[in-house]
Amino acid sequence: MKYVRAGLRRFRDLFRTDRLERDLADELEAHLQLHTDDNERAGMCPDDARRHALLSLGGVESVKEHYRDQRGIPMLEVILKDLGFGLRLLRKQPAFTFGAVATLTIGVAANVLVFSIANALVIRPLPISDPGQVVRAYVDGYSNTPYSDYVDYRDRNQTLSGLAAFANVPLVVRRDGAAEPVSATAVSGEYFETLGLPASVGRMIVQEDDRAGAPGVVVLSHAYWQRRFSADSGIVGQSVVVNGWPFTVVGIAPAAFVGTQAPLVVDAWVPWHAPSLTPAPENRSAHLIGRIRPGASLAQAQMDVAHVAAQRAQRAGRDRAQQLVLSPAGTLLPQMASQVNTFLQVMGAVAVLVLLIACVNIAGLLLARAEGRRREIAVRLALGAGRRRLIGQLLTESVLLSSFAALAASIVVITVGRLLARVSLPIGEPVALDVPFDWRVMAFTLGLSVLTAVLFGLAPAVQASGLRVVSGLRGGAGAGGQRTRLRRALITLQVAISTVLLIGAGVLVRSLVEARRLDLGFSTQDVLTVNLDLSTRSYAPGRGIELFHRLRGQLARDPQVSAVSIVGTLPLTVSSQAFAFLKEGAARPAPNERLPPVFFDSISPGYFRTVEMPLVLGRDFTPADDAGAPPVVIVNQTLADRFWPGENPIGKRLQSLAARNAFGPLLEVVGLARNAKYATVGEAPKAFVYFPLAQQYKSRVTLLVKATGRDSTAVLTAVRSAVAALDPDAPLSRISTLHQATGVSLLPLRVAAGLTTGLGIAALVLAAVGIYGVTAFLVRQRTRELGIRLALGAAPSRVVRALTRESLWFTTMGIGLGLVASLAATSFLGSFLYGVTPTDPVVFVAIPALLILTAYAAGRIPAGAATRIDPIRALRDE
Amino acid sequence: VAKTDVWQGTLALMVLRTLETMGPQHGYGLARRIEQTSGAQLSVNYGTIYPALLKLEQEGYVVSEWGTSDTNRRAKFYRLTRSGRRQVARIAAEWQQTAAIVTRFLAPE
Repeated sequence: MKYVRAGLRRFRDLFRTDRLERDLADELEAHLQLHTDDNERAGMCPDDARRHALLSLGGVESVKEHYRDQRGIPMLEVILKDLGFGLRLLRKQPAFTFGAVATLTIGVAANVLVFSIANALVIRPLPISDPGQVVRAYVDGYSNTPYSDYVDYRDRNQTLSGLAAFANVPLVVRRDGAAEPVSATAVSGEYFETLGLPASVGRMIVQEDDRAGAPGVVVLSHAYWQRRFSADSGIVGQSVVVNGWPFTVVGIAPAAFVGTQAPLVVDAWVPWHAPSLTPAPENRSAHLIGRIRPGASLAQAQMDVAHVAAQRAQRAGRDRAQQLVLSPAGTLLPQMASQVNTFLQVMGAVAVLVLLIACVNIAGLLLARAEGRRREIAVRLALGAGRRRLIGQLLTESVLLSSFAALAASIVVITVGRLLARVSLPIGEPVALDVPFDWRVMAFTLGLSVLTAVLFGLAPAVQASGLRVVSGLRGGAGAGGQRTRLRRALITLQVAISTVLLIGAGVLVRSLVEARRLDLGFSTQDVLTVNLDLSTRSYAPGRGIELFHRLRGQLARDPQVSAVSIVGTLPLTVSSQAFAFLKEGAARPAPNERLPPVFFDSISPGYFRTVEMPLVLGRDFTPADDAGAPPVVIVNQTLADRFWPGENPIGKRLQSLAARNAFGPLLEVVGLARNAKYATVGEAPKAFVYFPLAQQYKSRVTLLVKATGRDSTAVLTAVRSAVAALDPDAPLSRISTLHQATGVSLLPLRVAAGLTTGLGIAALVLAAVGIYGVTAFLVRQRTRELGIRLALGAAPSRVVRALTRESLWFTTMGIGLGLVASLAATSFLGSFLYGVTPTDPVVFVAIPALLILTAYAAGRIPAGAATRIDPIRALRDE
Repeated sequence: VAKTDVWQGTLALMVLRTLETMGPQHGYGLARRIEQTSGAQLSVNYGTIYPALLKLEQEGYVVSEWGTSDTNRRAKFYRLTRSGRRQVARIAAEWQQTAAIVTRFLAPE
C-alpha cells in the first residue's frame, strides 16, 4: 500500500518539477540561514558562519542531486533526458541521421516485408473460430477426392464434428444487364458450419440449401460485394442470374474470409448441388476440410479416418486402403506450401543478410562519430559519469535511429501491402495477396528495431565508454588498423554485390526496351480484345459457332469497326498448345521417335486482316469452311519449309497423330501465313497450324476488334450490346487492348528487371554509406596528421586525393570482382534477353562508371570536410 | 560511525521519533536534534535529512507546510500524520526486538 502511494506521488511529481525545484532551493536556503543564525549566535563572524553551515550541509548541489533521485522516477527521467539529448544530436547532424536511417530502413523493411508475407501466407491462421481444430484431408497425397468417397468419409467417421467438400467452379453472375465471370467455390452444406464462420450480413449456406432441386442461393465475398454492389446491404434477399439461372443472394461473408485457398481469392460461394454448375455434383472432385471434435486429438482423428478407409477397402474387395492424411489447415493452397516455404526461407536469408550489412555499416558510422566525440566522452567520464549511464546514453541514440527506421519501414511495408492487394496478375486466376499490418507484424518490427539497435549500437557504445580518461583527454589516436581492414573487406564485397545486381538490372532493362521493338510478325495496333466464355452456357458446338458467326456479322456492320475476328488463344499470352503432325504419305514414326511439336490454334475468318498479318499464298478461311465442309488448315512458313521444302504448300495435306498412333483426318492446306511470335517474344521460330474455329470449336475464345479510330476502347459499347443481344448471360471479361494483352509475355522480364533494379539500388546505397563511414573514420582519426600537413602547406586538393584514393582503391577492387561475377551471372540471363547480348558493352561501361562516381562522392564528403580543418585548432586540439 | 545501510534505515526512525517527541519541526532543527540525541556520534552531513524527509512524505508518514521559525525565519515544517504515528510504534517495536536479540548474542557467557 505504501509503495503504491509513494509510486503515485513520484509519478505526479514528474509533472511539477519546476515548482518542486524552487521549493527545494527555498528549503535549503532556509536551512542555511537557520544554521548561519545559530553559528553567529555562537560567536562566529558572518562569513565563517555561512561557510560552516554550507560545509555541514554537505554541498547544496549534491544534496539536490540526492533529493532528485528520491523524487520522481529517476530511471524514466534519465531515459527522457537521453532521448532529448539524442534527438538534439541527430538533428544537428542531418546528413548522418538521414544516411543511417535510410540504410537501416532498407534492412528493416526487407525483413518486415518478408515477415508480413510469411504472416499472410503461413503464420496467420484462418479467420475462423478455433482454427487449430480445422484440418485438410488428402487422399493418397492429393487434395482432389471423388465426391462419393467424400460422402463415405463424412458419414462414417467418429472424430470429426464436420467434414465439408469444396471445389472451384466456373460461375457467371448477371445483374442489371452486365454478365461477368466470378471466382467461385461450390461448397457442401457443412462447409460454413464446419469452419464456424458467421455471415457479416444475412446468412451463409446451410444444409437445406445443398439438395438437388433446392432453389439456387449464393453467398458473396465482402470484397466482391463492395466492388460490384457498392456494399449495398439491400442486395441480400435479391435475385441475381447465375449461369443463366435465378439465384438469391442470401448473405455476405466476413471481410477477413477470402476462402480456404489463398492466395486464390473467392468472390462467391454456391451450394455443391446448386443448379447450372459444371461439372455435375457427382462428377466434381472435392477438396476436403474438416473440424476435429472437441476433446479429440489430430492423432485420434487420423486413426479414425484410416479405419474408415480400411473398411471401405474391405467392402470393395481391394487389398490396399486409401491413405487419407489429415493436416492442420492453413490459409495457403496446400500444393503451394512447400514452394512458398522455400521461397520465404531464401527471401528471409537475403533480408537478414541485408540487415546485417546495414548494421555493420551503421556501426562504422557510429564508430567514426565516436572517434570525433572522444573528448566529449572523456570529459564526461572525468566528471564522474557512470559507464553504465554512458552506454545507456549512446544506446539511446541507436534506439532512436532504429525507431525512425522501423517507422519508415512500416510505412514502406504498408504501402507495398496496399499495392500487392491492388495488383491483379494477368494470369487468368483471381489471385490477391492480403498483406495485413497486424499486431504480429507490429511486434516483429518493434522487436527487430530493438535488436538492430543493440546489434549496431552496442559495440561502438562499449568501445567509446571504455575510453581511458587521460588518453582520451589528451586525444591520442586510437589503434584502428585491424578494425578498418575487416570493414574495408566488407565494403569491397558490397560494391561487388551491387555491381552484379546493377549490371543484371541494366541488361534486363535494356532487353525490355529492345523487346518492344522486335518484329512480332503481326500488328497490335488499335485492336481491342475481349474474352468471351461460353463454357458455363452448356451450348452444343453448333449453337456456339452460330453465336460467333452472328456476333462477327453484327460488329462488322458497325462503322467504328474496321475488322473483327475470333481466336482461341491470344498470341503472346505465354500459353500454347502443341501436337504431333505428319504430312500425307509420311510413315508412322518409330515407337521411340519423338516428332518435333507443331503448335496450333483455332481462328475465325478475318483473323489475318485484324492483326495485319498478310497471307503469303492461298486464301483465308471463309464461313463456308464449317463443320460440314472438308477440313482445311492454314500453315506458317516454318511448317511449310519442314514438310514441303521448296514446294508450294497450297493443296498439300497433313494429318495429326493422336495417342496410340491413330491418324486424324487429312487436312488440306489452303493458305500460307508469315512466321510470327506465338507464345513468347523470345521464342525460336515455331511450326504453326491454324484451324477454322467452325471445324475446331472452342467455348472459351477471345474477340478481336480493330477500330477505325485511334481509340480501340470506343468500340467496347458496341461489343457489349452485340453480345448482350445474342445472349445476356454470355460473360465478357479481361477487356484490354491487344498491345496490353500481349505485354504479358514480357511479365517475367519486367518482374526480374524491377527486382534486380530495386535490390541493386539498395545495395548501392548500403555500399555508399559504408564508404562514407570508413572515410569519415579515417579523417577523424588523422585529424592531427592532416592538420600538420595543411599547416606545412599541403594543398587541400592533395589531402582530398590522398583520402579518397583509399576508398576508390577498394571500390575498384569491388567493381573488378563484381565484373567477373557479372559475366558468369548474366550468361544465365541469356534466354530472358531480347536484342542485347549478356555482355552488353553499354551496361558494362555505364554501371562501373556509376559505381565509381557514387564511391567518389561518398568518400569526397568527409574528405572535403578534412580540408576545412583549421591547422591551429587541430594541433591545439590534440 | 560510517554511512551504512543501517544508518540509512534508522534515520527514518530517528526522524519520525523526533517529530513524535518534539512536535512539528523544520529540517535543520531535526538534523540538529538528531545530532544532539546521538551524542554527536553520528557525524553526517545535515543534507542527508532532506531525501529521507521526502521519502517519508511520499509514504504518507509526514506532511510539510511552510511556516515561521522561533528566530522569525521562513522554513518548511514537517508534522507527523496519524499513519506516521502508527509507523513509529511499529518500527520502534521491531527495532527493540532486533536490538534485544542482537544484545543477547553479544552478551558475555
